[in-house]
Amino acid sequence: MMPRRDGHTTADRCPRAGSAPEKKHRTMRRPGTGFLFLLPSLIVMGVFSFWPILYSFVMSFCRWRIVGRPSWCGLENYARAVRSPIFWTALGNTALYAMVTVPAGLVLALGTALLLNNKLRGRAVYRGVFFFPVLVSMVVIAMIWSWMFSENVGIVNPILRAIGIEPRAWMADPKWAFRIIMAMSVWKGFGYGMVIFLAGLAAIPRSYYEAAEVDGAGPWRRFRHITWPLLRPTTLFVLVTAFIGSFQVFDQVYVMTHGGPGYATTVLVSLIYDEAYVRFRMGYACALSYVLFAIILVWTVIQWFMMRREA
Amino acid sequence: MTRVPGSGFRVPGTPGGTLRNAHRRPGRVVLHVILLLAAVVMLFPFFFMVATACKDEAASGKAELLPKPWHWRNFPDAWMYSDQPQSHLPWHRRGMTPNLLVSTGVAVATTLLTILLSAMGGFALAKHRFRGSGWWFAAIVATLMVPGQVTMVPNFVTIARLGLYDSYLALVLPALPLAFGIFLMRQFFLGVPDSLLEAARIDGAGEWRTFFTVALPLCKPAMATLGIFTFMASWNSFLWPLIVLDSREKFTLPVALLRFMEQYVTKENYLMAVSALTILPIALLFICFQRAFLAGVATTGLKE
Repeated sequence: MMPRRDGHTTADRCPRAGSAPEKKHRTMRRPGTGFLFLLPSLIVMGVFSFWPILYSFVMSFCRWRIVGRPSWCGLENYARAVRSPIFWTALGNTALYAMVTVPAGLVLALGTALLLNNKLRGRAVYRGVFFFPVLVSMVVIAMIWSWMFSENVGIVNPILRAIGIEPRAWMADPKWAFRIIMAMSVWKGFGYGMVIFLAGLAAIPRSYYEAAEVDGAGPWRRFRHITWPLLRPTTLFVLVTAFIGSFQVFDQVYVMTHGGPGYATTVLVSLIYDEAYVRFRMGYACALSYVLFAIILVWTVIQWFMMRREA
Repeated sequence: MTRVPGSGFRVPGTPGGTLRNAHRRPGRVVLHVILLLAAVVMLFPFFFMVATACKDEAASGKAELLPKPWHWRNFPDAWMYSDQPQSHLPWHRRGMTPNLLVSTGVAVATTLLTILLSAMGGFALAKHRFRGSGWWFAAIVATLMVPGQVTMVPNFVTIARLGLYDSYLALVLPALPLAFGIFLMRQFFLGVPDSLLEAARIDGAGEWRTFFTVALPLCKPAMATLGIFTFMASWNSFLWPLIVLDSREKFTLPVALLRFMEQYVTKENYLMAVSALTILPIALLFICFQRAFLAGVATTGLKE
């Protein structure tokens, strides 16, 4: 019924098809049927995925308020972004968010996975507790955290006062508001990476460690020379997906600060949201979304090559 | 237990216990202390939520951790809270109930549609050859690279033009994760031997019957993975429902919560109570099916 829990991909269960003698049977008697199976998906994706991807690209070169016809304006939207200080603030915040939360989340995910990879009482409970925030809506988590850090009714200020630290209005402070958003995001998200690392760790044969131990390798050397290299594909996956997600951060910012105070916590997607659905500058919003796309694409390719080279 | 699994000889120097924990009694204690502290950090915000939810209104404005006494009645009261009269409404339109029903209905519909369409599409791409199949697959996978914000603006306009603004279909159709689903199912079907399908055909089953009676039952694990993934994404989705919904009754739970927060700023206790109640279904599901959940998540991670 359910997927297996031993960390192998489900596809491993059956011998792979597509070996030479089987291959010719892939062509079926009625060649049209295959396309019919795919057709419903193609229709939905055509309307809500293929078409808008192209449309958005064309619109990024147009002046387009939601009413009226779009009119061609060449690169003006992109030029406007480059000239806009708010765009650079949002870009800087997004980059800071990615560069802080992704490595921090990775370290926590790998660390907890390594700790939980031991035979240990309560292992499943710990694993469930660390993973649980991943499941919960970001809106709920963001509300709880803003309440905890609220100046007057929160719980953080009284705790800090008890150990002699001055209370402050955390979410109204430009620096602290963003730090708290980042800390909360790491706290909420690292369990996802942990589960994937646990699956990756389970796939490493125990005999490697036993052989290394017999040879007198300590824990650090076992990690450095067995775990880390064998986890490389897992690490790459966690890093790439985490970066892609982190560039698209929005929910927590919208709920906790609406991008404020000032523009201190404005990120790229909150800018896109504002331009499209508050100011109705659709063309400009499309251009911004393509900037986001380009950043994600370039950064993913860079990571891919960096990890390849190291391997 | 002193035998190395698979090799059958005793390891020198480890007279008792397994190889890995033979020499770490104090290490174990440290390990447990670290994990316990971490678990407290992970659970504290949820505890704070429940504790705040149980305070009376006067105390919810004060910075104390524990309510005295615990007002458990806040949970049903908060759920039903509204500044509009609602005694004339049927039960399913009172308080947050409509939003719970919308969230559930949308998540279930999204999940079922995604599984069905992805299984069909993945089956076609793995087991059929037709003109352009390679190109279609490439195009579908390529859309995985595009962030949702790119399609968001045109989709909003499409939805408006189709007259679907503020409708349930607007929540479901553009939010089907078909590219991911088709990719996952195709990978899975590649591992299903053709001979099984051939056997069904030789017995005279048509393509559709082969698909529904032979192929689909074989891919239950992949369907479970995709289902869990889709359900979670739909249940927690925020930005898209925020954009395409207008009437309060149709809000999904995350959007409804946000509006609750904006409208009743001073009712922290009620806000936390409602939040806790919206987590409850997911929490219960997770506790019951923890293994399936985690295995599903791990499977998506190990796909190359």
